Amino acid sequence: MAYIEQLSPYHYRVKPGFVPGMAVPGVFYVNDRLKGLLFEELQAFCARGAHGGFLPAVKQISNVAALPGIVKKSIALPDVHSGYGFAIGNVAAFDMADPQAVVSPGGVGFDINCGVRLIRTNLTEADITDVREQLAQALFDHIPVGVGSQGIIPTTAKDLEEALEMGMDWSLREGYSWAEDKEHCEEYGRMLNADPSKVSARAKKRGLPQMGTLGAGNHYAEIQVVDEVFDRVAARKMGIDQVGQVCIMIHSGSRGLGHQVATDALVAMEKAMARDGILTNDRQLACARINSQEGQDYLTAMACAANYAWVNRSSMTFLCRQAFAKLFNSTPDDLDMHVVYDVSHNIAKVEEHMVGGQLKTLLVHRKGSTRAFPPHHPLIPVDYQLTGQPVLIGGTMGTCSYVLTGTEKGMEETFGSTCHGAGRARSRNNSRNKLDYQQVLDVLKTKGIAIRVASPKLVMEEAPESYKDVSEVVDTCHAAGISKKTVKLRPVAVVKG
Amino acid sequence: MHGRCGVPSPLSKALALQSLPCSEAGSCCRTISWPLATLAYVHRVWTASAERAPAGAAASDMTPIPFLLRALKYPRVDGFSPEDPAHFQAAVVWLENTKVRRYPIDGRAALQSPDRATLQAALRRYLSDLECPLALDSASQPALLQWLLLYAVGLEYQDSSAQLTQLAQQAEAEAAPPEEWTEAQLPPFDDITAEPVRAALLDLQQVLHVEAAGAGTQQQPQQPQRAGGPAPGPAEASPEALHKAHAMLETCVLPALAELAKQRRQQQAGGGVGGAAAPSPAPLAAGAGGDGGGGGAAASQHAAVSAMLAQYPLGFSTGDAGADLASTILRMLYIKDLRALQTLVDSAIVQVQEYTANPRTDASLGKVGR
Repeated sequence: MAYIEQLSPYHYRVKPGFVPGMAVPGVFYVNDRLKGLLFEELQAFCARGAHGGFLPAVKQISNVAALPGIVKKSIALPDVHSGYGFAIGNVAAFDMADPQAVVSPGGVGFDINCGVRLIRTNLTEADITDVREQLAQALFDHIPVGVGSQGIIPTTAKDLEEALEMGMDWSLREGYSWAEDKEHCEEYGRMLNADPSKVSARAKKRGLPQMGTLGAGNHYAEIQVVDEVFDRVAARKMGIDQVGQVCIMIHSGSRGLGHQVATDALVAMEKAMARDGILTNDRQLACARINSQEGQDYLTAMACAANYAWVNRSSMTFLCRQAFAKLFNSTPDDLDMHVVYDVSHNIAKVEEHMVGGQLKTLLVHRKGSTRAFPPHHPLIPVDYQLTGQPVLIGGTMGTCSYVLTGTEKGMEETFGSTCHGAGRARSRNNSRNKLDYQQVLDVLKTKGIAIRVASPKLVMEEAPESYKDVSEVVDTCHAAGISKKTVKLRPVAVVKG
Repeated sequence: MHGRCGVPSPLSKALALQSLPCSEAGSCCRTISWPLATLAYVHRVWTASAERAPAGAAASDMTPIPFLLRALKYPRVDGFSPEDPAHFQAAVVWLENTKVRRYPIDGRAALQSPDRATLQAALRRYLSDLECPLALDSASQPALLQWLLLYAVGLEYQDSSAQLTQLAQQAEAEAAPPEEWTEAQLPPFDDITAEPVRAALLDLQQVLHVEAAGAGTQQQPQQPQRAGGPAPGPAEASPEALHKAHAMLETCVLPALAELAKQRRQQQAGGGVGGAAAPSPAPLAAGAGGDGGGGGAAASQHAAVSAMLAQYPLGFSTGDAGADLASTILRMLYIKDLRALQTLVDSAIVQVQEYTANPRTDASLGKVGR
């Protein structure tokens, strides 16, 4: 405890020495309520002794701060909770110029380029009140969900290779997405260093039939309405400034393909660590030097998985547009179904940041953390040059979602990153044991939310009770100045794995 | 306004005629109004059909025929179909009887003949007597009728041109100062094909950087070309361009001017620069020079512009307000260029998609997981 000091009401620092070998401090952004959760977890861990489950998040953040080549600090955002190796909600940047610096699959996560996409419409809540159930069903019919689901977009092995290489450009070429979609997508929907030959056959085999599927776990497609507008100018720029306006949020990732890419890389990296003599505090923090063969292989394969995720979200966008067009007997164009933005919250990217007054090229790992670049940043779309990058924060089933924008302060303090969602408060097992799925569904019903799920028994894992309060998380980010609240969205229909 | 524009085109004549109905009753003021949008629409339709008509294409419902009929006060405008031979004949007869009067009354019988052959011969002669450039056999009925109507409008206008001009002048004299005009009270708008209007419109477009409709897609990201003669692609005086200019004025320029006027008023009230000067409407129209109000006006203008630009985040500060302002303006210009480039990229993608896109779905492949 002596190692943790409070810097501001929302901002704590873990001083080097908390775990062995910390090169930089750890920093976490939490308010009092969220801090309680974090420390409770730490205390439980100390009492229990070092066995079983993941390490507590505070410890994981500090372990990351001990990795070779890390720059400035290891950052935890308000939604932080423990994950594989890196905590989820952890940002860590490594200096590309440092030959010791590493890349770690744990810092990206298993669901590579898991992200959120928001599509707006010109419908209002009144237009969909009567057809809410049909709408949920239409989405459910168009977008297959659940573990082992298979997509309805015919994909050949050749298509997959091309999609892995081209990302959203493939979707554009095939006509599944609009030119404006690409404009409003992080990285323009394509990582240019992708090389499908670095993706294992097993990964491709898993990815092939899953194109255009949502997946399971916390992934969802939600129909939401604008509940509250905080920043009218920014909201108007995004075209979502009318309270009651209907939007669609898609939260999905790279499915089995990304998982396999991460697994393959972890195996390769364990060998590389032994060869290069890289020491870490935690076996789960498998990593390799950025310039090593393993490091480069992982980065190219990760780029492929990222491209796959964008194609996947684009395909689902296409299917959503179809579903809406059919139900409202109109065209997606007439319904103004434009993509507002598409963010990735599990990814590692090469970016340029100011470190100690110097411009440095860094490999920024964002795991459970969203990029949030400020106004005028060259990597954000021209439409958002004055507002800052839109940041889409998916809530949990039945709770609100938010749209934030990036700020200068976030750029300085957190490598232009902010939170990604609510963040778990209970482990999956804990929720399964303590909650009853029928109760969870009933609560949603009373809130007037239509729901379609593939596996009702998994619902309680995703119940709002299992998560932190997303509003608290977002408010903390807003108060700490690392991003700015723009719009609050409320769900009216949920489709889930 | 008529004094400036030289010879009015047939369309503006028709407009003027339309504004006449109550001139006989002696009151005229309100009737001068004609909404800009209608004018623009009619003009577009008219030019489009004028291009098509000589080729004998069916002018269909896109002609200004009903409009012209109304201007001439044709009694059965509702339900009129220029394609219908009976309607056509009736209109021609009515025109000859009341407006054109080419033949003496007894010479008009053949035009009224129910026999088709007789009628055709009479019409052919009638058209050639009127020196119509359209031939009866090759041109369509609507095209012929339109030509006849325009001819009649021309005659009608000649009859009462002095009165119309006087009406317009009177309206201008009686109208409130320009600041208080509403759309409904606008004096008759000159035909935008008239040369002076065209030139003025082109100037306006250039100042506002409004691109002509239609030219937008082929344009290269143009370098700002100021005062060096007309820019190569963009400017063309069309109703669409007029609307764009209007939209630009409404959304961008007028609010800024209003802000400017507010600031100036505040300064006058507070600093007493202009003393107890009469609340003149002039500030609204004041140009960029600011020579009228001297240094005070220039300063307030500067302040207003800075205040407006301060809404936009700059992202850094040079420590000097002037440099910050300049940087903000540069950023805005950069964003504008970037948007133009992005639009170009998007349209290129869409063009390629024409050839490559073929999205397919196969519902039988779908499988919902557990």
